[in-house]
Amino acid sequence: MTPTVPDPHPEERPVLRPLQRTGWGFRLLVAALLAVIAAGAYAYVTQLRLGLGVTGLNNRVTWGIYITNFVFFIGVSHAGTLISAILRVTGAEWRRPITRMAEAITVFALMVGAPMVLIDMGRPERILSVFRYGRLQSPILWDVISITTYLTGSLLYLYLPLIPDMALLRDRLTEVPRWKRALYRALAAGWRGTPRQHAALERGISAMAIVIIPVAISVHTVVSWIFGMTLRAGWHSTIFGPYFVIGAIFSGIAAIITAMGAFRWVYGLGGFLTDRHFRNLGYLLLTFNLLYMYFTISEYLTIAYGAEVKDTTLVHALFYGAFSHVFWVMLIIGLVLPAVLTLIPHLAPIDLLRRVPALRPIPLGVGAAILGGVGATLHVRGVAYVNTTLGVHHDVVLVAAGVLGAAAFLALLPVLKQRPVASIVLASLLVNAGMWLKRYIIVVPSMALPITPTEWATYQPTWVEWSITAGAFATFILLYALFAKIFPLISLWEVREAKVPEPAPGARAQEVVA
Amino acid sequence: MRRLRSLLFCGLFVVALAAMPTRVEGAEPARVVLQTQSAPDGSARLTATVVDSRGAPVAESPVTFKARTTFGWLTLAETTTGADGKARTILAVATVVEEIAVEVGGEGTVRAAILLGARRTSAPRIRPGWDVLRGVSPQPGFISPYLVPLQVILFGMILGGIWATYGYVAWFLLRIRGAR
Repeated sequence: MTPTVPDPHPEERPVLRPLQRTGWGFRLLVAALLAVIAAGAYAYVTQLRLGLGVTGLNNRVTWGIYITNFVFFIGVSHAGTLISAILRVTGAEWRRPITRMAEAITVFALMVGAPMVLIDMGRPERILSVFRYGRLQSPILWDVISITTYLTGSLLYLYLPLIPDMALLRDRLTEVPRWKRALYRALAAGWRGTPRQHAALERGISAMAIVIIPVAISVHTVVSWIFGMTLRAGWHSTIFGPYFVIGAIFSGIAAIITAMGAFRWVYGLGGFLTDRHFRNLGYLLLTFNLLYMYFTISEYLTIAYGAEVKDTTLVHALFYGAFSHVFWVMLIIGLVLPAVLTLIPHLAPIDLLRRVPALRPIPLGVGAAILGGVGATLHVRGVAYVNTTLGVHHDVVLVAAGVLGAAAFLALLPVLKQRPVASIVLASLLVNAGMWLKRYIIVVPSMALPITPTEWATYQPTWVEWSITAGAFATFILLYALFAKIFPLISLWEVREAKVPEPAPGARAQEVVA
Repeated sequence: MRRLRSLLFCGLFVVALAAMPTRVEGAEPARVVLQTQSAPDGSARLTATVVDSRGAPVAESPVTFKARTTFGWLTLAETTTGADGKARTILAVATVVEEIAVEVGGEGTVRAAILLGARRTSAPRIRPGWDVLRGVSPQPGFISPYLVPLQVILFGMILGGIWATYGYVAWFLLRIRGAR
């Protein structure tokens, strides 16, 4: 008997519906994204035509927001493959509905992130020099090789679990354009669901899940080495490898939660992406948030304690000077607020605030008190740091805005506690923004810092860089949206497999499959 | 008679002056000779002797000592010749230098070079990687512009292992396609 591909279950319709119908909302989204991408393409053509002089980059700050985007997207790419592989290897059954979304994030983030280096180079044909004159000892060459290896592995790892679902679509999804049917037929790879095919698929996925973990870790480690192998202040650190990997997984989890939230809301996938998935990923997000805080404190405390002139100059610029606004905003929205948001379900005092409306102004009062205390402290200590670029008064304004925002946020906590999924999605959005800022303050200040006794270099991104950055993010969203219109976002066969009862001891695997 | 004695005295004085060995100030350097003298501690004493077209030593002539390294010519010292036409410097680590040169004059119009004894070996003068393994390479492995066997082996093992796994998985894909 030749096993055949089973019919879709009724509860799987929300997953398959986007593949069959395209609404106006999707068309509008695509049009808007294409407009942003076109603006980015125009900016890039301008840069190609006129040179890097149209950007804010200069002979001192040669890595600006392009390399910030590169590190950010490579970090986001850890969402998928690494997290999916870890959950698969550790046998976390709840992972099944989220693995495909995670794996797709990896592929698209790499596709968008890697070209950022070419854009930063100005003349893209010079990438050939890496191959012609590259030295095996150079982290730049390691980076090219590891990212290529990771992208290839991620494509394989995305494709393998797609095969049974491609067969399902090939056989059961008839109301789709001809090109889609041809695509499903080609990608199904002759899948009939036979025991031999199942065995080969499982072994292939298992092999990839194991090998992709060190590959993924190596990619962001190598990215960190590009910074760490230099002798610049803020970069030359022995913990940069794990620091970057933890940060990458952190932002990767945030990216998955964001995508899950968006698709659950847009496509009505609540039956697959349950509160449990958000809660579990929220715990993971909190864990990596705390780990990242630990690494951040360790890094800056070590630098500041050493009191080397260049290190203290950098720390002062980050804490009180020209980059302080980015630094503190990053800390607050990227680490502190997400931690609070993910802990909301466990914060008992919030219930008290909800039950007793008279207590709700308390957070605002506490916020105002903090504001007053911090403002007064900065005002008193500001004399010592008044020589920084922005000056102490600017800092006070920023701190005031931040503390008032935090107070308003605290006042909203009772509302967010009643919506834990929204709270976790909001936390993930903040983490995404915060981690982009974090990459910015890793890349730019260390380059702007004077190595010889000269002035700080200045860097102000121009419209060209912002347009290309917006285009990159739009490309990422567009690729993901198109993926969701062609392939099922949920791995249907894996979800079904989880529902199959465990075989009796000694039973053959194919009996269960058949 | 008195006038005759004065003339005779002047004549003798001129003849004596002409007979004395002379050194013309500001003579143009025509040739430079570079000599090295190795010391047991690995250093070398470099001596450049500058002479003019008549072979007379040229004093106060600017001299530049240079060393050729893997990364190009490196200026060791800029000095001037003494009254004996000689300029000297010490090369502290002669073992890492392939060739020494000396240039005289600002434009370097007169030049002499010498290959250091340690480098007068049969080609290749630098054996990529091997010297690093033996610990005698001028550069440590991560700075060397040449491939280092140990690094190549490690790199090849890691990368080869990963890509071999990919190939293994691709083989499963073929099995899926071929299975009935």
